[in-house]
Amino acid sequence: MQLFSSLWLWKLSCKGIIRTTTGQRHLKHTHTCFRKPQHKHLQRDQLQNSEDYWERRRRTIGLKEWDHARLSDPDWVCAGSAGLDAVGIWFRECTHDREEGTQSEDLRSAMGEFKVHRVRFFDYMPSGIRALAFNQDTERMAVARMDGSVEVFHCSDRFFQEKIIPGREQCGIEGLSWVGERLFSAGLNGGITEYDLTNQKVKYTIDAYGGPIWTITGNQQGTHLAVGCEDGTVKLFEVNEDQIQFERNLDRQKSRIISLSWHPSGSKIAAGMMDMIQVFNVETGHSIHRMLADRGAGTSRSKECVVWSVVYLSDGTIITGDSVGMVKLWDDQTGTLIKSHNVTKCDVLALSVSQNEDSLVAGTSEGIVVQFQFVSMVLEKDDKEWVRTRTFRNHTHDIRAVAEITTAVVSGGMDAQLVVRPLLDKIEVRSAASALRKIHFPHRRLVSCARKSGLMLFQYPGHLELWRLGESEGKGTPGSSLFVKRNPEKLLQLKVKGEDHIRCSAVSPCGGWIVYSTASTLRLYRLHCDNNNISITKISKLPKVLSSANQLCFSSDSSHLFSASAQSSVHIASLSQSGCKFVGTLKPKSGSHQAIHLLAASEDGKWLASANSDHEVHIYNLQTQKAHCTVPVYSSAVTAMGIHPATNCLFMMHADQQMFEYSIEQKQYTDWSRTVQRKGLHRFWVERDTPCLNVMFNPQNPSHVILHDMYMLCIIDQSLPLPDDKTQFYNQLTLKSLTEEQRKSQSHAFKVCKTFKDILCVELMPDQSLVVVERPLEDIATQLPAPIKQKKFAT
Amino acid sequence: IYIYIYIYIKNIPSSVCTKIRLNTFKETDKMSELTLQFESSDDELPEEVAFDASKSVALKSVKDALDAAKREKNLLKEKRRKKQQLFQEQKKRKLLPQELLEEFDTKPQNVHMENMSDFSLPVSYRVMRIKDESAAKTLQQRATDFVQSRLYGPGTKRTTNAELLSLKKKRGASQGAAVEFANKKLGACKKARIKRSNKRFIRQQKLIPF
Repeated sequence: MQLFSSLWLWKLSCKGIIRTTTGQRHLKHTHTCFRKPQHKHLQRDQLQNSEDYWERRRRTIGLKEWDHARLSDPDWVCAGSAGLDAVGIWFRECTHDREEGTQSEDLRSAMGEFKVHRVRFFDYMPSGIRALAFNQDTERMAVARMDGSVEVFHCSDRFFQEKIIPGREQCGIEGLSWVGERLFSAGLNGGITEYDLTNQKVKYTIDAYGGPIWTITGNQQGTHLAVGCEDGTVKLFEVNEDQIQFERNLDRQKSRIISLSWHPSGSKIAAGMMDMIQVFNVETGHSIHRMLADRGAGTSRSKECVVWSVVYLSDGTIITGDSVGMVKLWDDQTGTLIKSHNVTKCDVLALSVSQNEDSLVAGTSEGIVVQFQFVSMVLEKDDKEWVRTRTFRNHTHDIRAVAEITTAVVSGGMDAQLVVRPLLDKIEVRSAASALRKIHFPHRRLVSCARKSGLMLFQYPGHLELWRLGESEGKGTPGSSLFVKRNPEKLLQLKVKGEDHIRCSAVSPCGGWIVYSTASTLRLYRLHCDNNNISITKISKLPKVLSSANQLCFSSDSSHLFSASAQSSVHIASLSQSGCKFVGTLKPKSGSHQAIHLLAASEDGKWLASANSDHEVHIYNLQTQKAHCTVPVYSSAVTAMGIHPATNCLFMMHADQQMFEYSIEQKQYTDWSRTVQRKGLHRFWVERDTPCLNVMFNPQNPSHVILHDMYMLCIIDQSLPLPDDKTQFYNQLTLKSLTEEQRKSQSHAFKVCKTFKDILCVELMPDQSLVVVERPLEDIATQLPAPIKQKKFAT
Repeated sequence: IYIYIYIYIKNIPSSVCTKIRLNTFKETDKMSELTLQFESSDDELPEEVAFDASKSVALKSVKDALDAAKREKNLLKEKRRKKQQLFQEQKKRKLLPQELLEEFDTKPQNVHMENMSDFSLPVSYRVMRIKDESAAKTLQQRATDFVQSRLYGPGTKRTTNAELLSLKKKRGASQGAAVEFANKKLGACKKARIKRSNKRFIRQQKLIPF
C-alpha cells in the first residue's frame, strides 16, 4: 500500500485528477469525482492536518471497509482509481465547524475564560494594486497602489512589507521602475517622483511637461529612464547621482504612448500606442517600424485598440498585450506579426517576462494569469516557440500588474490582494516558500487602543475614527454570544487637512491624547471625554523637531510621546496640561539610518525599544536618555514586539515566525528563548503565512504571551512544555474532551484559537476581555470595483 | 398696379383703337367718370381734348397713384404703431409695479457669468473662472476618464460584486442563497426603496381591500 502523502502531489491534484500507477488494473472503476476545497483557510489547515487525519482514518476503519467508507461518507471525496491497493489523494471537504483546528469560543481549556468584543465596524478598504516592479539584486518587490502609496516587500523574507510610503489624494500613479537601488514612479499628474527609501518618503518630483505620464521604464544599463506621455512623446531622462535630468524627446507621435519597453541593449525602444506599436531607434529618435494592431471583430471594431503592455526581448521579438485580448508576437527586423494568441475576451492588461527570457506571464481583466514558455514542441529539437502553458486563477477582479521573479509569479490588481504563486518546477525543496501566498492586509497596525478608557482609534488613509466599545451583561457558556447592553458608538471623526495620507497614528492609554502623522506634518490633539460630551483641542505649538514621524508611541502613563523620525532616532516629548515640550532625542550608537517601523515602551516607563528596517533593534534607557543595548541582528525582520510588564523582557516576533525573548536588564536572551531555539518550533507554527502583528501580556497571568496573526489568536504559556514535531499542535478540541489529569499531561505551550478570521488587531483590556477587530474579506469584496462578467456552466 | 393710359388717336376707326390700361388699387372717381364718359359716347366724334389738359390729367393720375401708395404706407405704419402701443401697454400691465423694481435695482446684483445670454460669443467658446480649473488637472481628469471608459465604460461586460459572490456561493463548497438575501446589510437602501414603491403600488391599485 503506497501512501502518497507528499505535499506537491496533493497540490497538483488540486487542479485535476491524479491517477496512481497501481490502479492500472482497475481502470474501469475509476472515479472522477472531486471537489476543490474552496475556502483558503480550510485548504491550508487541510494541508497541515491531512497526514494525521488520513493516518488515523486508515487505522480506525481498516483497509477493506475503507472503500465503502470513502464512497458513502459525504465528507470524503476521492480522486483516483478504486481497488484495494489503489491509493487516492484524499480531499476533505467539510464545513467550518467540524474542522479540527477551529474551536468554539471556549478558551477555557487551560487558559482561562475571556469575554470577546468582536469588532466589525472598522470599514477598512485596501486600495487596488496598480504597478509592480521587481529588483533582482536586492530581491525587493515594489508595489504601487491606486491611492498613490508605494510599498516595498522583501521577497525572500516571507514577503514581509518592509517599507510603506503613504500616498496622497489625486495621485494617479501609473508606473514604477527601479534604477539600481533607486525607485522612481510616474503618474497621471505629469510628474516623475523619486523615493527616499531610507526615510520612507518622497525625495522629489519633477514635471515632465508632456501631460499625464502613462508609463516609466529604465534601461538595463541603468543610465536612462524613458517615460511615455499623453501628448505622444517618449521623453528620455538621464539618471545622475542625485537627480534625473531631461535629455531629449524621441519623435513625437499622434496618439498617446501607453506602454514602453527597452531592448536589453539599450539601442531601441518599443512603444505601445493606440492601434499601433512603434519601434524607435534611441540614438536618432526616429521611428524604425510601425506595426498596426488589429481591432478585432464585432463591437470592438469601432473602438481603438489600446496596446496596454509591451515587452522587448533580446532576440528582437516584441510581445504585446492589447485590449482585444490577444497576446501578439512581432518581429522587429521585418516589422510583421509572427504569432497571435487569443487569451481572453476582455483586455490583456499586463505582461512580464522572466530574467532569462524563457517565460512570459500575462494578466487579464478577468483575473486570469496566463503563462507562456519558450520551449521546443518536439523533444531534443532546437526550434523553440512560445507556447501557452499554465493558467492561474487566483484573482476575482482585473489584474493590473504582474511580475515574474525567479521562482514565482506575483500578480496584483483591483481586488487589492498581492498573490504570490510559486512555480513548482523552479523549486527543489518544499518549504514555506513554495505555498501560494495572498497578502490582503498591511503588515502594520492600523488600530490603536486606549486600554484604560475602552476607546479604539481606527486609522484610515484620509481620516481617523475614535470609537467607544460597547458593554454586555451576563455570563454565557463558552461559544455563545452575549446580550449587548450598550452599543459601541463612534465618538469622533478627525479629517486630515491637506492631501497627504496618514502614515501612523496613536491614542494614549488613558484616552486623553490623539496624535497622527502624515508625510509632512504631525498633529497632536487633547481629548476630553466625559460620559456624553467629547471635546477635542488641537495643540498648536509643537516643538519644531516633531515635524513628521515614521512611528508614534505613547508611554504607558501617557506622560510622554515617542516619535521615530529620520536617521533611526527617536524624539521624546513630554505631555502635560500646558502642552507639549521637547525633552530629548535618542540616537543609536552605531548602525544604519533606516527608518524605524516599530516602537515599544515598557510599563514602568524606564525602557524603550525600537526596530528599524535593517533588522536592528535598539533598546534605550529613558531615564538617562542613552542607548542601553542592541539585540543581536537576526536575518528576518521584526513584525511585532512588546516589553513584559513584570520581567522587562523584550518579546519579538519575526517574519519567519521565529520568536525571541531578550532580557533588557541582563542584556542577553532568556532561558526560555534559548530553549525555544534549541528545540525548534513546531512545523505548523513556522508554516503560517501571515505575520504576527501584536504582542500583549496578561498582568494576571505573567507567564502568558498573547499573539495574533490574520487567521488565528494564540496564547503562549511559558510555564508549559513546548511541543515537538510529533505532538498534535492544534489540540484545544482534544483537550476539551479529556479529564483534568490527562489534560495536564497533554497540554503544551501553544494554545491557538481559530474562531476569528481576517483579524486586523487583538487587544487585551484590563478587565480581562479581549477585543478582536475583524474585517471580513467578503465585506471588502462587496465594495470593490465591478468585475468582468464570466459565464460559468449551470449558472 | 395697372396704369390705364388712354391714348386718344384722332380719326381712327374703332377697330384699330388700342387701349393701354394704367390702373391703381382703387379707382378714383375722376377715372371712372372718364371711362364712363368715353365708353358712353362711342358713335359720336371724339371730343377734342387739349394736350395740356390730358397732360395734367396724366400727371394728376400719377400723383394720385403715388399719393395713394404713400397713404397706404402711412396707414400701415399707423396700424403698426397702434399695435406696438397696445403690446407695450399689455406688457406694462404684466410687469411688477414700479416700486418693487426700484427696490431690486438698489440691491447688489450677483452676476453669474454663465447666465449672461445676451453676450454674442462664438459657439465653441465657454466662459469659466480661472481659479476653478487649471490646465494640468483637466488633463489628468481626462486621462483618468479615458482609462475608466476603456475598462468600465460602454462595451465592457461588467457585473456586480454581489453577483460574483452569489455565483461563488452557488457553486461553492457550502452552497447557500445569493449574497443579497443572506447578507441583510447589502443593498439595504435599494431594498427599502423597493419596499416603499411596492407599498405605494398596492395602495394605488387598491389591491388590498380595507
